[in-house]
Amino acid sequence: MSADDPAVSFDRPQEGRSARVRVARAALQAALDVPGVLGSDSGPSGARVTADPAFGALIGVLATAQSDGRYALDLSLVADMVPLPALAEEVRAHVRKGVDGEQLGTVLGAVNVEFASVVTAEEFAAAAAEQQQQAIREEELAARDAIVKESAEAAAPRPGSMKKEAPEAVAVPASAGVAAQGELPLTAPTAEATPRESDAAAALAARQAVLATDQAALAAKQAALVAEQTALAAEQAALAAEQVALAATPAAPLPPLENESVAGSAAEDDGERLR
Amino acid sequence: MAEASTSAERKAGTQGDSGSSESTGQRGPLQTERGQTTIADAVVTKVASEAAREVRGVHELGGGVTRAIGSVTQRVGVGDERTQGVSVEVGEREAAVDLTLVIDYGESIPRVSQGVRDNVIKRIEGITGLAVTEVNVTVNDLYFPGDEAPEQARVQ
Repeated sequence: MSADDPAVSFDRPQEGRSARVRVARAALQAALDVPGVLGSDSGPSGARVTADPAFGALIGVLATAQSDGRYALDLSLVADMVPLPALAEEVRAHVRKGVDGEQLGTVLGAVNVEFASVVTAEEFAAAAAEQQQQAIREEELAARDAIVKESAEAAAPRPGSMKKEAPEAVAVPASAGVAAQGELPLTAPTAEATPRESDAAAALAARQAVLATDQAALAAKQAALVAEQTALAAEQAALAAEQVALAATPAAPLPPLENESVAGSAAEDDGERLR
Repeated sequence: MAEASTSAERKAGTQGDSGSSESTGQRGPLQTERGQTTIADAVVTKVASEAAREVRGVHELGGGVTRAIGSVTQRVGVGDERTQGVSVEVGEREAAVDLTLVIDYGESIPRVSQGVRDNVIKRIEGITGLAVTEVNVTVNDLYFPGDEAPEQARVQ
C-alpha cells in the first residue's frame, strides 16, 4: 500500500474529523488569539497534546471525554507576565466563543488552564526567531528532498505512465540546497497530489519566487556594473587619444633663463657650504 | 553565610497535586465553576526571581556552588540564569519560596531581606493569584564593588 494507491486517500475533510479533535483545535486557536498568551506548551510531561490526523499534533491542548458526553479541555499555555487568573478567565471566554463558532458549544465541558511558563517579550521574540530559523532549515531540507525525488522520477519514467510536465522548467541555483544536483527541471504538481505533496510544492514554488526575485535584482546590479565599466573604458580611450595628440605636437622651445648669474651664485654657495 | 529566616512548617495548601482533579474545599481565584487554573512551578520560580532582582541591594541570586554550576550549564546551553537560587513549592492555592541571595556590601541585610520578601509576595500574589505562605531568604555572600574587575595582564 502506498500513497499512489487510489484506494488510499490523504484528503480528510474537516467534517470527517471527530468532535474531540475539532473542539481541541478550535479551543487552541481561540486561546492563542488572546492578548497576553504567547504560545502553547506540551506540559511538564508532554501530555497536553492532541493528535489531529489532518493537521498534525495540537500542542498545548488535551480534550478528554467525560461521562456526560462532553469534553473537558486542559490547555497548557505560555503567557506574558500579567495577572494570570484574569488571563485564564479571558482564555475561557475566548475558548467558549471559538467552540461555539464551530457549532460545538454543547459538547464543551470544563476548560482547565495551566500556565506552564511566563516569559518577557524579549525572551519570546528570541525564541520565536530561533524557531523560525529551524522551520526555514526544515523547509529547505524538505524542498531539497522533493527536488531530488522528482528528478529521480523524471530520470526514470515508469512505462505506460503519463506524467504531466511543466511548460517551463525552472532552474534552481546551487544556493537553494541542491549544489550536488545543479540545475534540475521541476515538474508541476499533478492534479492528484496528496496534501503533503501539495504543501511541498507550494513551499517550493514560494521559494522559487523568492529566488527569482533575488536573481532579477542581481541581474539589474550586473547590468549597472557593465554600464559603469563601459563608461570607464570610453573615458580611458578618450584620455589615451588626448595623450597621443599631446605627443604628436612639437615641443615649443623653452624661454631662456633671465638670471643665470643668480643660479651660478647659488651653485657656488652650495659648493662653499660643502667645504 | 547568614540565615535571615528559618524554614517553618509549610502549610497544607502547598501540598497536593495541581492537576485537573476537582477541588472539594474552598474555591479561590484559581478554581472556578468553568474550570481551574494551574500555575506551574516554573512560573512561580521566574516571578520570584524577577521580583527579588528588583530590590535594591540584591546583587545576584544563587549560592557559590549554584552559580559555578550555573555558569557551566549556561555555557553548554542547558541552564537558565534566571532560575538559579530560587526554590519553590506550589500547591493549588498557596506557594512557598526559598531564595539564596548575594547582597551588595554596605546594604542592610535585614532591610534587603524584608524588601525581597515583601516584593516577592506582592508579585507572586498579584501575577499568579497564589497565596504566599513564606519566603525564606538565605544571604550566601556579599558583593564588593571591584570584585569582577579583570586582573592586569602580566604580559602584553
